[in-house]
Amino acid sequence: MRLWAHPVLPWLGLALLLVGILWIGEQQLRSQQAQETQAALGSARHELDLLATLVRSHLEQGHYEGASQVVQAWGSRHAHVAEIVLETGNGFRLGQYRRPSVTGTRTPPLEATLNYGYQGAAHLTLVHDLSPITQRQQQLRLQLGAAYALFALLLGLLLRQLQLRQREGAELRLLSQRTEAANVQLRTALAERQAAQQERDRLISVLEATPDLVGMATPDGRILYLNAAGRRITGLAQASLQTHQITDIHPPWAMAVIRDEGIPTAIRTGVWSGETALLGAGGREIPVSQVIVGHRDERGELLYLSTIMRDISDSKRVEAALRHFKDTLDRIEECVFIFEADSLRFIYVNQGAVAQVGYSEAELLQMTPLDIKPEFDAARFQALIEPLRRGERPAIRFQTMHRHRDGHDIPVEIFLQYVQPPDEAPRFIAIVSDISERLRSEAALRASEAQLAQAQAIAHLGSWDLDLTTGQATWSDEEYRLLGYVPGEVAASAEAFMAHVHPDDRAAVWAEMQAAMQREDGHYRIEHRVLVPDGSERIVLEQGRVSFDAEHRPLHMIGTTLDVTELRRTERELAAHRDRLEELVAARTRQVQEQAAIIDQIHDAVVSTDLDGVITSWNRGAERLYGYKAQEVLGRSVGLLYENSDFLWREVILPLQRQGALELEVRLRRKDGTVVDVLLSLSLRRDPQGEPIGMIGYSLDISERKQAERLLKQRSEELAAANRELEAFAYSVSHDLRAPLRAIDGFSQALLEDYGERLDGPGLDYLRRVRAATQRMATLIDDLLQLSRVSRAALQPGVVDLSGMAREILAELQQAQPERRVDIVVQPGLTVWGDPGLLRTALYNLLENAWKYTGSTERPRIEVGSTPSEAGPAFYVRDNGAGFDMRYADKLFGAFQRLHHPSEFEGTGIGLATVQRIVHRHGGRIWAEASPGQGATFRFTLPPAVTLSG
Amino acid sequence: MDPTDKVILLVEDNADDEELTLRAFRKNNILNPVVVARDGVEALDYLFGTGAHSGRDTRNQPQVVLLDLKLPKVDGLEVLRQLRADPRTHLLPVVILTTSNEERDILASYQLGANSYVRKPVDFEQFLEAARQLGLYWLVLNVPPPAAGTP
Repeated sequence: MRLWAHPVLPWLGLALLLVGILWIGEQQLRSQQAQETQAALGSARHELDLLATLVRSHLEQGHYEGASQVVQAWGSRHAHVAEIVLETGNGFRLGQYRRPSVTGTRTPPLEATLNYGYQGAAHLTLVHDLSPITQRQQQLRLQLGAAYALFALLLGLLLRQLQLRQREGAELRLLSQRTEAANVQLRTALAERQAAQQERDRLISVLEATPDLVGMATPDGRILYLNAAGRRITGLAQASLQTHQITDIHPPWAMAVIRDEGIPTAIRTGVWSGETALLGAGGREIPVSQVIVGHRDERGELLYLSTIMRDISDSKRVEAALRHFKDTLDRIEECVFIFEADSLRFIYVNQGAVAQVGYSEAELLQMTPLDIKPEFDAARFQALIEPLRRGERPAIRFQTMHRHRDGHDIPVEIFLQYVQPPDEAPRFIAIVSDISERLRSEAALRASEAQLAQAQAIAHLGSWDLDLTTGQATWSDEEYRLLGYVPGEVAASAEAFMAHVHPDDRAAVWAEMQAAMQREDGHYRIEHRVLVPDGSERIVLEQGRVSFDAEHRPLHMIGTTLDVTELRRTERELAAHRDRLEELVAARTRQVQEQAAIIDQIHDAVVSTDLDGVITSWNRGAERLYGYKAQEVLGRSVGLLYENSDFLWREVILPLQRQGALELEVRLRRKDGTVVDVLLSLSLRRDPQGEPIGMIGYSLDISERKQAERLLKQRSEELAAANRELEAFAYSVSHDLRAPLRAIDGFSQALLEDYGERLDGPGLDYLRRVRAATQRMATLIDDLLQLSRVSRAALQPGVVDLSGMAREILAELQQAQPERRVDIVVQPGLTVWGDPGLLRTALYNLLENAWKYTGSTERPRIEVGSTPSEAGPAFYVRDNGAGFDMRYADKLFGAFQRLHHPSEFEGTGIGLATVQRIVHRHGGRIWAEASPGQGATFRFTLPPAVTLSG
Repeated sequence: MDPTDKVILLVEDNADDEELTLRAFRKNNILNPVVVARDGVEALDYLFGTGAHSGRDTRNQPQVVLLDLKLPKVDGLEVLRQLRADPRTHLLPVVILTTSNEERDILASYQLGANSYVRKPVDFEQFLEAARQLGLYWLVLNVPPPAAGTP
């Protein structure tokens, strides 16, 4: 900040900055120009190579004119070319181009030597025009210069503003400091003037009392003052005093001495003493010893002259006068010390002085002011009195301490004057007043008044004073305010106060006052309500004391009034809060206890730990589950339950602390070493700020479930094995059981064909039976395999058009027996959700049965349709064929169960078992209604979830 | 073209079935020479000119192979897989002729590149019919791939 204010430095800095920026800019420009020139040279060289190649091709063929044209054309086509020259080795100029307009900078000539044929060489010289680059640079320099000038101007303005502002601030401060100093001086001068005035008054009263003549006169001899003794001796009246000259009171010879010797000496050295004479009232000459003192102001200018004259005509009178003077001094309240100017030793002390410092007069006469002024050492004291000694000041007044003989200090104010009697050593006269009482009482009064008022205001504490004999009272300001008044607004009295007491409380207040008057100590205390003018109600606490006369008659009562309205209200609120808080705490405590009890008593184990896994709580469930008692594990790591702690950290603690919660199944070790499967539900415990502070784990014993799972797994493995076995069995049945059948049938046929003529009727019949049996067996095996496949195959469901499927199957059956005529009714739009392959097998079996059992019916009819049922649509296949007896309906769907004799209807008894298996596998139900000769109806449902209506 | 030049390779372990198959061919006047292999190894030896058939000119491959699936040593599916993996035989017409009508066998056979799958019926008359159609189709109607086994 100061640097800114300096008149030169900032400008110097600014100039340096600007020069610096200018220099940097120039450097940048130059380096850019150099780069561009370099680039131009590079491209020129490249161009020269190209041109050389072109030219050489012409030269080698002897086309000198062509070469010249190439040079011309190249030059005129390329604006950056300044000059091209093509010369033969012997200086013959074959071609030339020179751009007329080029006047500025150019590259140095670049040369290439062309060897062509074996005739010789040619030189090609190329010069590029650099003036665009130079021009651009100059333009740039101009622009930069303009920007730079603007920038410098702005910076200068800114700096100037800053300096101006700085200077204004400094001037303002200086002005205010000066004003302040002037004020101080003014105040000091005023104070000094007042002090001087007082002092003069006092001195004058002293002077008025002395029997010596004491007077003051202007340097030119006009009388300013003459004390009582002087007026008496000279007979001059007080009123006319200032019209007289000193010549009026001295005989001429004495006047001559005074004029010629006394006044000049006093003026010169400050004091003159000598013997002169006075003119008495009756013209009598009175010899006097005279002292003339010249008084100067601080600047050393002579203000006035004073004189003391003593009648020396009568030595007894002189002595008496001296004694009187001394007595006077001794009697005055102030202490008077006179000490020699050089040795500083006291040469006179009055009785007041002796009393003040506690030393005897004799002792004091051996001492100096330094011995009783603890605040001064020799040097400081000399500095204090030096101006007096030099006559620079007539007197000084200062405050300091006087140390009493017993060591205590007394604050004093000292009026010190320097006198130089003509024939005695120069000395100082000190008039000392004890100001301790003054200081103390002033300070105490100020402090106590302020404190009281402040204290009352702060405390809302009023005070009052009641004269019990007159009923008159005084109230403090705060008392007024308490009663809702501005201080002094109404006359204070006991009645006025009572009027404000709440009507319901008046009797009690009155009674308490009466009681206080009866009490030995007169103590009075009551709390009651008061009504204030604005209509509100306050509660006050009054305390007081009655004072009594000698006969214990109450005289007076003083007391205080404290506004406790706020206090009582706060107390009530506090009590309410406390009750509420206690309720809350009690409720919370109950809750916590209940929770703790619940946690402790729940069957499952609840364990909490800190963030390092050290156990902090362990409930009874944990004791039961793991076998450890709480006191055994508290403070130990939860790792004691784990086979290895690596797992604990990697799989449990770290994932938990990362995710905040975790659930996993683990095997933990009990105290007795056995292992238990548990489901662990873990979560982080957090403090109210959400910072994790520990972990809590809830372990559920899942040993039984795990056992069941293991059993289930074992069972399903067994089942899978059984299935695999069954499958293998079915596979080998399909291969191995059929092969012998084929052989039996095949060779029976071969026998029949090759040796048939050798067999008789029964023989042929046997062979036919052998063959029929093998066919039946093959069918049986196929049906069994199909049943087995239906059980094993995985369902591959899809949408199945049952109506279409039924028509196809019936068409197949019709094709196999084209001669049969059967009425077929298929309800259209039967659609279901199921495995198409299996459903076809089921439907095929049902329709094939219907086809078969209507074989001997007169007008056979087969219907396929659906009716609604509780479990969704029930599909049916109805025929009017052989039917069956419902008594055997329970055997209908069992494997190998047949209700008809094979001679009536062929069949293996496996078909319906297969159908039922398929329907069941789809979650449906199948049943049949029939009666012999009336046909049969097979109904089946597929559950709604897999049924799509039409 | 003289049909007798066309060899049929019958891979069949069951002597009864072999006899019945040959009988069926005879009954249907299929007079082509039939080479019988009684297990998978023998079939592969014949086709690749190894083992008992070492030195056989493998450029001469059968017109059709009738392959049973259930065979001792190396089963039919494995024979088919190896046969399809070898350049000499990978275009050879192979008809699976077996008792099984298990879906997985049918599927596996076609996946390995069988040209046809025929289930041996128990009824010999049906078997005769099947043999007749086989002979008609594979030996007369079918145009075989160009001579395989070019070195």
